Amino acid sequence: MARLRVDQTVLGSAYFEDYHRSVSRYKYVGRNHPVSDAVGKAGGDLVFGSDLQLPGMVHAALLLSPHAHARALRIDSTRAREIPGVLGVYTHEDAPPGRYCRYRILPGQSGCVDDEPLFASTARFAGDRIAAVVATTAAIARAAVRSIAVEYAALPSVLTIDAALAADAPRVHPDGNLLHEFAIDVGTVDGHGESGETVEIDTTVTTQMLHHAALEPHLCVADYDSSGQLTIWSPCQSVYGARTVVADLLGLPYHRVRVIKVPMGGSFGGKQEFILEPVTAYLAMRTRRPVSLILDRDECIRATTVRPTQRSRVRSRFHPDGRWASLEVDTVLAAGAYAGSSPDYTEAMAHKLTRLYRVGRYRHHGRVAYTTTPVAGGMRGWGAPEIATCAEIHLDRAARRLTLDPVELRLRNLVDPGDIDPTSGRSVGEAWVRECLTRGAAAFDWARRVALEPGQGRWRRAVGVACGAHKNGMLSEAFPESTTMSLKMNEDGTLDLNAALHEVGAGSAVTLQTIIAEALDVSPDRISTREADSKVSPFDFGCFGSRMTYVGGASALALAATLRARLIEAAASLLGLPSERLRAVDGHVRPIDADTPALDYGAIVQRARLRDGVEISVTQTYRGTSNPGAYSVQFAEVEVDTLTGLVRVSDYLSVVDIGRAINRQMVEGQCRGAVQAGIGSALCEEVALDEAGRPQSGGFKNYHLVNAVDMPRVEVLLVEHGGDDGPYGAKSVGEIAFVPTAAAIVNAVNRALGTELARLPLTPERILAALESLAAPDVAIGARNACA
Amino acid sequence: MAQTEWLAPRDPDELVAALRRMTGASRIVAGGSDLMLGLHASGFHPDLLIDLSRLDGFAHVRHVDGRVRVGALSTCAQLQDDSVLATHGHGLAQAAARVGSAQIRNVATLGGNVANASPCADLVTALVALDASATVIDGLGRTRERPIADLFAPGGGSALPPGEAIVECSFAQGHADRRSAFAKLGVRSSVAVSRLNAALVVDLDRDGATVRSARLAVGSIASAAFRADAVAAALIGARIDAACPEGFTHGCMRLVDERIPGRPSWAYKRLAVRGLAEDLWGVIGASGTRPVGKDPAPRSNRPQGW
Repeated sequence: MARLRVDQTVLGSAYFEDYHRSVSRYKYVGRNHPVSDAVGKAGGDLVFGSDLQLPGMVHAALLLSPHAHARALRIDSTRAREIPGVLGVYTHEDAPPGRYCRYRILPGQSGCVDDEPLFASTARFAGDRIAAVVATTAAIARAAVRSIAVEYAALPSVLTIDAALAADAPRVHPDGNLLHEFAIDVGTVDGHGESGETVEIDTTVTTQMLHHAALEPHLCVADYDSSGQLTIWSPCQSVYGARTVVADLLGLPYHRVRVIKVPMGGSFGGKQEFILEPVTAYLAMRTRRPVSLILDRDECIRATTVRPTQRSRVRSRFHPDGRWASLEVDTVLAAGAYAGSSPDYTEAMAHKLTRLYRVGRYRHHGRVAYTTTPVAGGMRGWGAPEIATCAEIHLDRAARRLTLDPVELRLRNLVDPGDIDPTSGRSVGEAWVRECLTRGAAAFDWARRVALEPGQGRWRRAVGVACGAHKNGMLSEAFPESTTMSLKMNEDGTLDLNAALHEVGAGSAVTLQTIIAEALDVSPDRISTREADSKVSPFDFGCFGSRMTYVGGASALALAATLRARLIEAAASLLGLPSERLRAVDGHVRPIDADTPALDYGAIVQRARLRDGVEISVTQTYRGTSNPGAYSVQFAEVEVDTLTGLVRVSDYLSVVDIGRAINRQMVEGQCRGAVQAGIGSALCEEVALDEAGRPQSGGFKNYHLVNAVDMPRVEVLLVEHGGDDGPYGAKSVGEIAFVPTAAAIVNAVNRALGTELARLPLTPERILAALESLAAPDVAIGARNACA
Repeated sequence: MAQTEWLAPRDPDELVAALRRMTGASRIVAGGSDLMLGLHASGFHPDLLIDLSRLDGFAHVRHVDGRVRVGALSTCAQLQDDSVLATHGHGLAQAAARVGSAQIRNVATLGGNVANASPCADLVTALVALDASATVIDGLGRTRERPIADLFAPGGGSALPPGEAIVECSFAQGHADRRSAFAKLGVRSSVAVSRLNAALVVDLDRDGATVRSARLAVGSIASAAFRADAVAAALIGARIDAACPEGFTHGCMRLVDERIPGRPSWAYKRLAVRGLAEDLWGVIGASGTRPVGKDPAPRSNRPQGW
């Protein structure tokens, strides 16, 4: 409660009225529950993948290409093989010939391009796997990697989207560099026509490659035993996807591949794709020893996945009153060396803006190009932050042109609950983004603060706002949404949930416990969960698409309701009363008229089993039928040092249309963490390449995250209207909370400086360069000094 | 794989004995905040590692006979709050406060910062401006004092030969009304390697407000921090409560132009150095009235109200 008192002073009483209204309705939902493995993590006894020790386990290390594009003419591993402790060196020469898609979950899945080999004979980015060494220790394996001599023949590199799409561009793959292209044209021009009395705004925004920066590096452990059983321990986001990719590549039947999800030290989408599972499994099969492969930070930055770099040209026509007449987006995205998720990722970008605004006619043209750069992959928000950044910077420019307050311009265009998203034909559901904006603006004192002058001195201060939309699950034309779970009640009334849970650190286990606890009126600590294991867990696609709470939670709630019905049915039989006269309350089934004694859950399970041979357990498949919008509106205040170009975010408010918070402290934690990551993406984080296409090395020394000292106080305001199909009205938070952050900060900086910065991150260099060109477009300061 | 012998001397005699055994492949570890990362990253295995962490003493800050003497094993955490430095070496205390994070400052030492000889070492820049010298001990137990600049090789890196260790740095207290300041520019306000750093020492006239003489040291744009007193000369005669003299700011810009022309960072650093110049000047104007802030990004001259 101490924490709540602190927040009360910040957020005022309105927030707490909502809070009490929400929590008073429920016993467990909406309150604070520590994540299930918090004690284990804090105490150090949680066993991560890097802690696993198996009998006879050996260690692998990878030789990664130092060149962005080069053919490996000769790989001489003689010296490496002679090092005591080395079991083997593996290259493309002896690897299976097949290629795979690291993003695939299911065989036959559309949007997957099988273009990645286990080991490259032609390196397509600086970080491509050339060889692997297996040795008795990791140190020996790494030393042996350093002693492999590779003779490369350089090939021309393709480091930018423009270079990739140029007419005479060198080809990254034989079929050319244009990996995917699509176009959408929906809706109609609102009002008087597209070219009538409208104002045209044209903006081009570029966002950069980012590293996920999870605390835990990428790793995998694999074992292939004498019975032909392959077992993989991986901190992954889909055990079934890992199974599909590994089994298909290595020619194993699915029942011989078991993937066990181990505790994860963070992902942010970086562990969504199957990067190390195929190679580790292969090495285990070759050596017939359990193999552990753990990357270091440099390797994680270079050789896993990055948030793609993309450039979007956003062109709009607005009516003079600020209503959108039409919106046209042209996006090009760099996939890097392999397709991975990039085709789907780019398509996802085309389905965000029409969930957020009524834009009139909406056209979106998307292209994805192969480049000889680190492989792009899924990352928190999956295209939604990128397109929000582009559109929200664009909107602020429009506001300036139309001389409208940025909040007012957005209010004239935001969707309302029940609007139909023209790109999907589905309802945006309980879309309370308008309320997020109005309540947030009031809480942030926007109207007063936006009117303040940034100042003329060294430091300039201003506020910025941005909106964002995301989704709740993967339901779309291309994908169904379903999950299967089992729930069993034991003879003491405790419960075991068997679901393919992929806890990524966001508290999904305790979320499901809380949902089931509320439904059955038992304490959450009487419900056990387990992480996904492809051998024993019912099928689930995995943890992505902001589907965990909305789909998984709804599934758990439906499952609990079925189990409760079974329980009441069994009790009815035992008590000789009709089910309608019984209800499940506080761990007991009680008659509505209390003249008959209640039976506790455990007694019902025992007696049903002994007397009637009845099981109180349920397995069922939940099918999602909706995918409403998830929304966030964020407000930033920044202070910019015009002499050094450094930006400090000095105040922040994150407002999220959460539907209903299941676990309040985790929701707020997600919001605050998202701001930390978002500030980094706006100001300082970037996987920068040198002229030869090599990512910078040096780990976190040169990849700059925002640290605690530079974090502002982040206030969180939750809008909770419930509705939709989520459990107790809950919607997603982890991804949406990140979506508008970078844009809010960029908009604040541009307001502070009078600039139109649109290339992220806003490094001090870019800020000073922009100020220079504002101050004296033709005369550099040096020249002026020379005259003086 | 190569084995590393580890010695942890507990007194000066044991230290001397250990130094006698050093070869070119031996290393001395004090706080280890740079050395250990370097060893892990490079895979280099020293033949001998001399661990100074069990050595008593060498962590003093004393004001003796007109000189301020600082033990080489003083940690940054200790220096940033030291009362002697608060009065006689504000710039050094400020530099210590801006090194790394609190955790790093708890172990990183003055001697280590000097011996590591990074071009952007924060303490070194402050010491160079203070005209400091270092006391070095060798394997025969002989000590001698050398100007701090002599410890850096002309092409970069340390000029300290194997078998010698820094035991103390010292600088003259000097003029009665001396003020010093340190400023740095990283990519963020803490846990950032300096992209530029600078330290300024000024002696004031009797009025306590006018600069009589000034010394400037700049780091990160050469193989080691260097003095640029000609630039600082623009401050002579300026009142410290007035705005930063333009001649000083422009001098700093010219310094960057001279030192790193054509480097990718040049265009930025030549502009950003104006911020450092103002920061230094702001601290000089305010020091004596305010302690070394724990705020890693001092903004002493930020206007109140916008």
